[in-house]
Amino acid sequence: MTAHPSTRRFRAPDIWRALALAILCGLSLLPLVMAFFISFKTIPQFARVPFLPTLPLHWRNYVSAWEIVRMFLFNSVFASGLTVIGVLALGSLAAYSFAILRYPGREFLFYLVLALMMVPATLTLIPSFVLVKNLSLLNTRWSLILPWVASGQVFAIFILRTYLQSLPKELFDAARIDGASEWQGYYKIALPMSKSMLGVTAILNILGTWNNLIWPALTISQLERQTLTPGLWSYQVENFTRYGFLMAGLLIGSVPLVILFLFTSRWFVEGLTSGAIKV
Amino acid sequence: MNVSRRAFLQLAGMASLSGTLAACALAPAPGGDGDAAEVAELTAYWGGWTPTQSQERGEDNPIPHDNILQVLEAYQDVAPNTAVEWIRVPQGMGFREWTVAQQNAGTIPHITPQAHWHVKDDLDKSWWQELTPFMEAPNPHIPSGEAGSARWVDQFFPIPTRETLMRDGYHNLVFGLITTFFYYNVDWFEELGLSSPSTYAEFLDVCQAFLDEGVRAYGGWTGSISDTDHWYRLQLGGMVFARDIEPLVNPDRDNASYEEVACAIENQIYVPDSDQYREWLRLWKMNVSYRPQDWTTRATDSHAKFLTKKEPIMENGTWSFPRLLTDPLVDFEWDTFFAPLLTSDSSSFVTDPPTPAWPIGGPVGDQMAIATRAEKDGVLAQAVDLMQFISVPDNLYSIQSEIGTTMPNVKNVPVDPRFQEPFDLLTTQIGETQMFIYEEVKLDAEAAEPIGQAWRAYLLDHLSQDDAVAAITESFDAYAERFIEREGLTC
Amino acid sequence: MTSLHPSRRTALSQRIWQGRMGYLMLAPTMIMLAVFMYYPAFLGLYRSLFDWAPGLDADWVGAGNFVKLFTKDKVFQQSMGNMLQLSLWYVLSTIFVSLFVAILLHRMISYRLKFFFRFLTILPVVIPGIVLLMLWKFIYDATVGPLNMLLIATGLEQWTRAWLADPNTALYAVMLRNFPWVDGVAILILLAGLQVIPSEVIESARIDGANNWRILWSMEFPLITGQIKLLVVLTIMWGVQEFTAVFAMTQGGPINKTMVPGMWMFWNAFSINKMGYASAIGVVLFLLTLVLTLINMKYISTQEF
Repeated sequence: MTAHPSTRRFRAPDIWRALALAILCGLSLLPLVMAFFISFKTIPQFARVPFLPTLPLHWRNYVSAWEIVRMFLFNSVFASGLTVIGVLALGSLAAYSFAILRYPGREFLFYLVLALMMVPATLTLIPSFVLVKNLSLLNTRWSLILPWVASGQVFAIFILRTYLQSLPKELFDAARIDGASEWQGYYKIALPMSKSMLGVTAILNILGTWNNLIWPALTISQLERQTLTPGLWSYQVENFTRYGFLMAGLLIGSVPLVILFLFTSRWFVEGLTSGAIKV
Repeated sequence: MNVSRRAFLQLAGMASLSGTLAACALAPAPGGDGDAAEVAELTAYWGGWTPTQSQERGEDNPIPHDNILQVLEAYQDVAPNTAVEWIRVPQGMGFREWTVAQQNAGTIPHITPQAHWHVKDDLDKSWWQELTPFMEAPNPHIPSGEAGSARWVDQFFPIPTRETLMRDGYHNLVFGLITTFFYYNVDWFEELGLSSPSTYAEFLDVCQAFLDEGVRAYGGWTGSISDTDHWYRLQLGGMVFARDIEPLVNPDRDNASYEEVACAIENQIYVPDSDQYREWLRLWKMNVSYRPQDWTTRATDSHAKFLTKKEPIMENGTWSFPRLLTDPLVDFEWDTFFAPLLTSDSSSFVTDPPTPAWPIGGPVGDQMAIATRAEKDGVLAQAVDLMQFISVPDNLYSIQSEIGTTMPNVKNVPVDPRFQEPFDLLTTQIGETQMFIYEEVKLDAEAAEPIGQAWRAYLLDHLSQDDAVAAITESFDAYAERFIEREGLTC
Repeated sequence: MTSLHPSRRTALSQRIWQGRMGYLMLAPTMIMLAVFMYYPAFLGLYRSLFDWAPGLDADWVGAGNFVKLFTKDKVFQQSMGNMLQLSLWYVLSTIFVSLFVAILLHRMISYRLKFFFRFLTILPVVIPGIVLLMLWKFIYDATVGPLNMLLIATGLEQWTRAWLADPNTALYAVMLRNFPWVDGVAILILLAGLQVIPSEVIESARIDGANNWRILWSMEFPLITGQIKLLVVLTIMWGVQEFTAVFAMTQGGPINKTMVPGMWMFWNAFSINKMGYASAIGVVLFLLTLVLTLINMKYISTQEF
């Protein structure tokens, strides 16, 4: 048993791991590759050869998609951005309360929140829409952000609570002995410790709102405030589906997400530092 | 003409608006940035008329169109006090779902596409403005002496338009007519020495000839379960019922009204457990083996299979014309044939001589309705006036001819020569209006769903004919009971 | 330490007062939820006791909708069976594939490779689900679909079929879409759980002679049961309600072989205006998920530090 097990002994297994991952990731990336091929096709080209690349490449799809996407990009970034901030702020606070603090009714309240995820959206669609209308929020960005913060939180609370519960209890107990307030426990320990999980929560939340089609299509009828996906879909024509245009638009629209993943990926790499448990 | 329109507007305005608003309408036209309170604001969604992203024709933009904008601009000169705002509605979610939600919240655009069979379900909800009084009054935009100058309704072709009557009233406007054909690959037919079939027996022979070559020939559109699987099913049924049943269901051979159909079921005239209905099931099942294997769940866009020469026949609608005409890669000759006749070669129930098939479709294109929200917002008169302006033949022609997927349902609008034949059929004969067997249209979706299930299970050999008939009977009876109770009919 | 573990004898009011910080932290969340979630959810579920269509008056029918659902509605009963099969598969595939990938990633020594593959696993989620469904519908196409092409190319022509249209295969075709079922989000959740385990604990075990399998089975696995339970609950909740896949791929057909309650509810609500009846289906799904969740959360124990 050497003192540095990481350098030599694990190289061979790493290759097998990389191979297995490459196959799995490669296969699950195929749809993305297909979407990429389709984005260069005209309607007739897609009708004939749906998946493999066809020549000539039809770059124009990207030009016409960009014309549309750029109208909606800011709206999507704004709505999804504010939503994710709201969800992380409120969700982590509530999750801390549910996971770390103790008070009567805690479990009951938690299940009460969890139960919201079990109500089918089909049923709440019309009541929610009428509610947003009665609050005079229609055609404003708040008609997206407020309901999205509310619904995104439930999920965030659930996964953040699970994570916080799995953190060593001593962390928080030790802090309390040191006289830290609950607020400090949240702010100084829980938040920094759950960076990676906050990142997962953020990504999940942004994914949910970024490609949301139905809700913005209902609440926003003025194009200047519309978000990306419904915006793209509102430029479809009857009797034709412009797959090339659609895929080009969706791929352009996914660039901000990819950049976001690249930057936040660092968070996930960091596990607990070795000293953490001794706080 | 201009004066008479204004006078009408003011009259109608005073009838429906508050005194203040009527006074505003009398005020002089604003010079561009007038006070917002003076302008009546209309919101509209134009459905298929919505302008395309670009006006440059190309492979990805085969039918560029924006003439609705020109018509709206022209309308500004006629009605400077009406501001029309139009919206785009994202496709890809159910339009019906969108409509239900918007109506619930009272935020539906004042003018929006709405199919008459949906309006039928909404009658008790007072969601859609009844237009009969306006239809009976003159269209002020029509010069005197021409159709419509006395009564707006005179502008529309009476036979298809009558199908939209519900409780003796008009609740939407149908500007377009549509029908279906069998498109076929002429080159491929000739290769096998085949010609377009004119009877059902010939149709099956043609399909068999292709099957001998390993090709499942009968491609085309397949509807959802509550809709029909192919439109030809309904046409074939019509021909089976033409001799014995139809004269009883619909004695005047005019439009088959909802009342007639429901009462025919109630009075045991039109029942699934009859020789004719069973004959229909049997005959229709004969073509199942010629359909592509995936007919139950195929993508709605079946053009690709026809264009790539996977399937030599495609049953589809008038709207396929522009698709086939604009596709630059079509390298074969294609043509159309109309629903093949059912003759005594195939069945003993047919008339002599054979009755031609009902043209499918009819008043189902470019359907617009005015939401009752318009009255609440005090813009009903303006909404009606705008629709009357659009029904002026020149205006409608400008919008429809640019798109080319429908035929006009308004008189004096020139018809594309390609469509002349079906157009004559639809406007001079009774077409689908006479069709009492189209479950989703003449019954309702609630009945059509289990009926469609039974048909498909029978076609797929998952249900015997007796069991299918039993299931269909149950839905028929439930529908008749439901409709008769709702409408308070005595049959 | 009384503030940490208040004894049972402490008066309730006192315990509530001591836990005031907890309530305070919940307050903003609860206010948002009350307005935007509880109110519409209550309205949606409450309608199950009525015969109601949007735009019309509601008639009280009490349990009538539920009676009809369980005694007369054969489509609903069939759809529940389909949904249970689909959900079971979703749970199994999510857990096993994600766990496998997460452990591969976690064990990866090279920082660069780890970073690279983590990025690749999450990348496919940028495509909207509806596009994936559309692509899979094409993959299953009977004549031009890559799946049948592949079978023909490998000499298995007799295996080709119209996967989504054949009543015998349609449900499985829907089920097995998205092969190889790599779920980037589930992987990240599991990975975050694995990373909580302090590296010294693993290292010392290794020094004591434990191999990778033993570390996995007796150390890592018990410590991420919380995450696994979370994923099970989430997948069940999602699987019970999910219907977009069926809606986009088969519309519930052929002959209801792929009908799921979520789609049946949607159809009742929006196609035939039976919102009250649809709500009853919703209530059944709600209660089913609730029971499954409670069983999962209460009776499967979690090991903690």
